[in-house]
Amino acid sequence: MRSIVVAAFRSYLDHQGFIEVQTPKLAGAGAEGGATLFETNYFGRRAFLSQSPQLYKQMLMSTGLDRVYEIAPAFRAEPSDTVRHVTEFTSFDAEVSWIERQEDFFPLLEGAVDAAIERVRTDCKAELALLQVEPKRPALPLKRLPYPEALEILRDRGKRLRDGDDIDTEGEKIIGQEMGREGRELYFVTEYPTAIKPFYVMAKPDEPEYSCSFDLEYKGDEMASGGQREHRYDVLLARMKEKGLNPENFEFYLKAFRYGMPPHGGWGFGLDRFVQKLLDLPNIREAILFPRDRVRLVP
Amino acid sequence: MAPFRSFLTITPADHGKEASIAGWVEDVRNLGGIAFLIVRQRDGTFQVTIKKKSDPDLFNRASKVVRESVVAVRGRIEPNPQVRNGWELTATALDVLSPAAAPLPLPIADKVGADMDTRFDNRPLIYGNRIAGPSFGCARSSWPRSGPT
Repeated sequence: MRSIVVAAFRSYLDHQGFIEVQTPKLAGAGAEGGATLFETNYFGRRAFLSQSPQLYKQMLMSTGLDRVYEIAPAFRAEPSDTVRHVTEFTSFDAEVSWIERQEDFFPLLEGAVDAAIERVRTDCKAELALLQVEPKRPALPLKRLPYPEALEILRDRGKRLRDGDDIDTEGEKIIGQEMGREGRELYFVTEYPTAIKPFYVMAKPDEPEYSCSFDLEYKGDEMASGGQREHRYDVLLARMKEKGLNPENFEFYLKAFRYGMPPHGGWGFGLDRFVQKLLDLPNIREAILFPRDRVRLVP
Repeated sequence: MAPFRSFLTITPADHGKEASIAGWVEDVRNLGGIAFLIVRQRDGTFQVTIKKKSDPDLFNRASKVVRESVVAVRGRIEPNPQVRNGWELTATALDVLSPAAAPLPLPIADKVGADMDTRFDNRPLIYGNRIAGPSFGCARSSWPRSGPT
């Protein structure tokens, strides 16, 4: 069924004019911050296993390949032993140019996810019966739950959260239950505080303390996160400095923004976690043939 | 859901109508009273026309756009059998979304003479080059394209 999900993503995006790409998994700089980087010795130099194709797929937006996707491994040195974390996961990433707001590409992500659920329901009847699950197709468009409303839900349920706090796993579960009551399994949480998002995320023009970002949630777990990216070179440089990053280490990336970068946005989507939630598997490892975690390196 | 259209979606039914189209400025030609921008998208180019007497300010701004900048142009689709595609966009508004620095680290519209390291160091610019780019995707996609671009 995992294979059917991947085939459905590919087929859907290929028909929307996307090109499938492969970006390097050996990297000289990390996209999501240093805490979860695997370091490796690269002929005497420091290199890292790629956490995300983020920077590379953005660079591709400056080339004219204006819709790209990649389904490939990504690595996080994640020490936590949970049912939803592994150290090597399969990331389904896409990036789309010529948008005005993140809303412009939401239908592409919604369409891809719906296509995958539909294909599994149609092609995998016997397998679903064996596992005794019946994945439901979502009603599109999905609900967009802005971050401030998500905070309200959590406060009503007794969680103490200040404006600007991130929503933790427990908070996600509570919102998942609340959305479940409305019959929603899939929904977006949008416009997270800019301060808790990476440097490449665009701040909202009218309220810069919030960002043009989203998480896609499925049954109370994060499936994808993404948003509109900052395509303006000067603003991007300022954001990097604010975050304490040295632009010199990102020269290979910044260069792509100096010679004409279209407005763009996209997502990173966890394939393994999606299969886990789709089939109600108790542990993400059940959705991976050879899972990798803090203690497991073979088989 | 499409804020900026692909120029490939323009048909005779659009002639005389307003449109917003974006892309990279491949060339700027200022002929004194009239200026042309050749704007490139993934699948090819189209022509934008600005007449000095209809909007001198727009004309001046358009003439100064640095090549390879990303622009969004709003205007009217006018049929013109003399230009590529059989139509041009007569601009009423121009927005530079991402200005390009000049000069480019390597020529982009001509056959690349740069050595391999220069080309790989500047990979994002290479696709724009019509010689090296098409290895990564087909220029004229046969599939229907809906949504942005």
